[in-house]
Amino acid sequence: MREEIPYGLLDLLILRTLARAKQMHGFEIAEEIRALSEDVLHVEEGSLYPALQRLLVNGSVSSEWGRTEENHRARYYRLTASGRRHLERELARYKRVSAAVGGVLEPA
Amino acid sequence: MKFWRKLCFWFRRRRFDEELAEEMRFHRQLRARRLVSDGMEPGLAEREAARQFGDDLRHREASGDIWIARWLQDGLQDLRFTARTMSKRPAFAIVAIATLGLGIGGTTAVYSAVHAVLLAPLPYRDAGRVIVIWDRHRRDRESQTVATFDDYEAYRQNSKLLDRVTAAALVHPIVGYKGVRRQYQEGMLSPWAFDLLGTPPLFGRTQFLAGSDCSVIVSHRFWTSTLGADYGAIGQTLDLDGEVCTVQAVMPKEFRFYPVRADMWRFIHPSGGKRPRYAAIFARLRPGVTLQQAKAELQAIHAGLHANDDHGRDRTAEADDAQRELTYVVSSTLRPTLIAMFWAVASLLFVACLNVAGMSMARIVERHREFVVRAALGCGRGRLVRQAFAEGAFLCMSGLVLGVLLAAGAVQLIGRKSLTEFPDGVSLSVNAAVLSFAMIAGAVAALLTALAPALFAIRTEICFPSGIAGHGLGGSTRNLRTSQIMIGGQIAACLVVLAGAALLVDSVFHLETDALGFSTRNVAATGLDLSHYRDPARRNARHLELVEKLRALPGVSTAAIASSFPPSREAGDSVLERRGRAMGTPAYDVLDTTVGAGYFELLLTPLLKGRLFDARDQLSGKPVAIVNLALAQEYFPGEDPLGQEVRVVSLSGPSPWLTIAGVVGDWKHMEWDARWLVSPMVFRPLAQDPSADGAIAVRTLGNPAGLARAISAQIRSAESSMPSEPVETLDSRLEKMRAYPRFRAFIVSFFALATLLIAAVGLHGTLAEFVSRRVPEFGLRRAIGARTAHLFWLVIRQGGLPVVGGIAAGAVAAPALARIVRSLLVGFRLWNPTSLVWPVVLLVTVAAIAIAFPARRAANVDPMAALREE
Repeated sequence: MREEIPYGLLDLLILRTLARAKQMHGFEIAEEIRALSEDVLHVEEGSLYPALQRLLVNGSVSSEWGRTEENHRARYYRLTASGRRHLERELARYKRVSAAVGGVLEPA
Repeated sequence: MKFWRKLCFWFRRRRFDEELAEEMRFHRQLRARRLVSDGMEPGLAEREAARQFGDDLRHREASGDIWIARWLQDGLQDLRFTARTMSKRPAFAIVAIATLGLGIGGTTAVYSAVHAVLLAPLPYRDAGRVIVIWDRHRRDRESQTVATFDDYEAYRQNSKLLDRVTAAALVHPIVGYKGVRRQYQEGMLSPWAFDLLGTPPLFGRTQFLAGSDCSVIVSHRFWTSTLGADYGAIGQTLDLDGEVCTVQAVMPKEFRFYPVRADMWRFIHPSGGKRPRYAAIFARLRPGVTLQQAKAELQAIHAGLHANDDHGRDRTAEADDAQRELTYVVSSTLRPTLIAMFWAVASLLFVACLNVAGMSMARIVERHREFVVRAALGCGRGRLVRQAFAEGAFLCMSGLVLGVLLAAGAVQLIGRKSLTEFPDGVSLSVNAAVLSFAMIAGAVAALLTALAPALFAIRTEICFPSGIAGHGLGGSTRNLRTSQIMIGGQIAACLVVLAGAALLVDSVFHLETDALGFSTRNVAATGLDLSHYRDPARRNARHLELVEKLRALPGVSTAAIASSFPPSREAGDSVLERRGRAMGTPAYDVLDTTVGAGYFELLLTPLLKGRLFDARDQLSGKPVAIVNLALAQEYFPGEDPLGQEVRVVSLSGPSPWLTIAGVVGDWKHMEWDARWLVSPMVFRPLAQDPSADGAIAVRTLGNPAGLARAISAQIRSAESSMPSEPVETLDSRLEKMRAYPRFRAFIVSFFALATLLIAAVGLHGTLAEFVSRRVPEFGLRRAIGARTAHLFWLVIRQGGLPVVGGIAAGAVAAPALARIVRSLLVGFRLWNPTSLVWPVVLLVTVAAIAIAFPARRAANVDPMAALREE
């Protein structure tokens, strides 16, 4: 079962994924999200790269060219300090909202 | 930070695109490899990966758009493209930018003056809430005068809607400082005046100090000119009409208040002391109160106060925005000057835009092929239109830069040479407001310039354009029509400006040549103050002595004393009453002058009837008057004015009944819209009212300028307490009065001629383009027998039609525009049917020359050469 990633969540997923690793390139990020979501969430390239540019523009991630284990040139992204703060804020907000949504959908 | 990252991106965008492509390629490869490891065949896996990945270019563009919005990227690209095409045809770009620069620069320079004089808020706290209160006649909205001090007290005590009601009265004290005595203008203000205005002083204190007897707050001008810009001026003493006053504060340069040309202000002591009889009244609207509400309340108070007297029957209270009122007072002559100038430069800018639009059109027609090819390659209409606007924007942005530089230069020049007298505290600068105006002007210019080419771009058809096969044979009649309409518009605007300029030049001509009814040649005058002679008989004797002393000076032929000497800048404001006649609506137009012996001889004004003042007219004698012809005709039509009894009613009350003893020739005074107008006048003998002396004049045999010092010394030797007023020739006063109209006629004519030049160049350019495109056709026509005259007239018709149409449109528009301007500015005449004659003649001549050259070329087309060119 494949699901669209709800609008606005992709940035959060990318940030969270990068927070766990030191650095990742685009394909690794997409794969990681797919694997962790047990093949439910597929990140389309058409939204992944614009999302990465968005994070670069507001300074949440930085990028650097490096080499993969097979010695192939790839652009690696890593979380910056301000990206980490941004992630914490967004995560807290997400938890608050999702708890609230849960409360509405299934009242205790 | 974000902006910085974006800026870095802009400079590295090509590399960014390559890197993104590489990154996505790698992504696709990894995906293909995963599909292979999932068991897919390698070739198939690669295709599947590419399919899943989608459109590589679109992803890259979408990623790029995050950095800089698409429209901005496209716009910048358009601009770059434009700059490149322009640099290929620098002549076009230079002419277009210069034309627009002149238009925008002129408009901006004039606007900077309009802004500084008329629009910039007065330097008060929350200036929009300060109002001014007048007294006016019930039926006549224009008859505003200052109110009485009692009215002021009533408003102050009873008004609930107004705060800090303040009186401001004009007095003329003689001020002595370091032994020099001169008359100055002083405002007498209520103690809380500066709380009302909220303008902090340059230094010192503006609060009313209860302890001090007399302290003054001086203007910046007085401080710099008389006190020598001394920072230790506070505490210095001045002698004001014999009273010792301490300088309490100095106001900043930009401070302006009532009286407009005040040199200093003093507080009216709240308990006792001198009080003015009349005052202009200022107040601040309390929060939430509108001007209308305040006016209603004031009128109610006024009606209550004057319930039982004549004043209440005739007059009422009037309130207005202080800004409008004070700038109006400041600039009664400057205002029409500025408006006339602004109107002229706006037309210039309009013509410049149409002209550049015409040139761009011609270029775009030339580039028709390029447009068609671009459209055929998939370039959207929108993009083509945007290209047209990008060209307009490029030209106007360059024109804007040039224009602002020109305006800054012009402002410097006007400031330095002080060609016009700006009110105190007003200095011109290209400030933020002026810059934003320039930008708006530039944007409007860009729209106007790009509109026609953009419309043309919209109509680009993806077809095999005639242009590709060679030169179109009259295929672009629609474009010709557009060009003709634009030329017509230019000619119309041109005619309107020329008509305005002609009117101003005409009025200057009249100002220089009109007979005024008095002679100013070789006459010099200066102020007189004998107010310390309380006894009228002694004062009369003193007058005679002074005149005798001056007559005794070598080179002086005659001398006289009077309340004032012409030329007068203002119409009279007194009312004439005939004994035994009921008054109709009073006309406040009679000029009341008190004159000493020898006055009419000095000014060479002829006696038409009766007699001049003589020894009979003494203090104890029957009060008499001399009137001028205009007054006699207005008030005594078909009657003999001699022996009739009249009196003059002014603000300070009625004169005694006067018997008319003589009639003299008419005089003219200058109306505020720079015309000489005959004034109805009443002259009274100085001997019967010696306290009215205000000025003394001499007629000299040669140039009076050289005698100024001797005259001054002679007066002071006779009367040592006399203030040192400058001796001025009447000719120089006349010259000063003519300076403004001459200046504005000069400026408006300059802009009008520049407009004419631009329009003529545009007309010529369009026709030349038209002819050169049709050279093959003309060659063909000639080859099959068309005559020279025929071709000549063909071009004349094409060019003449829009000129004739434009002149007709302009002739209709000019009076309509003038009517609008007049409804905004009462009495400001910009229209006169005869003022169209010269502009039309000039316009037709210039247009004929501009048309004749291309027409000649068409007529002289060599059929062989033209066909060979084909």
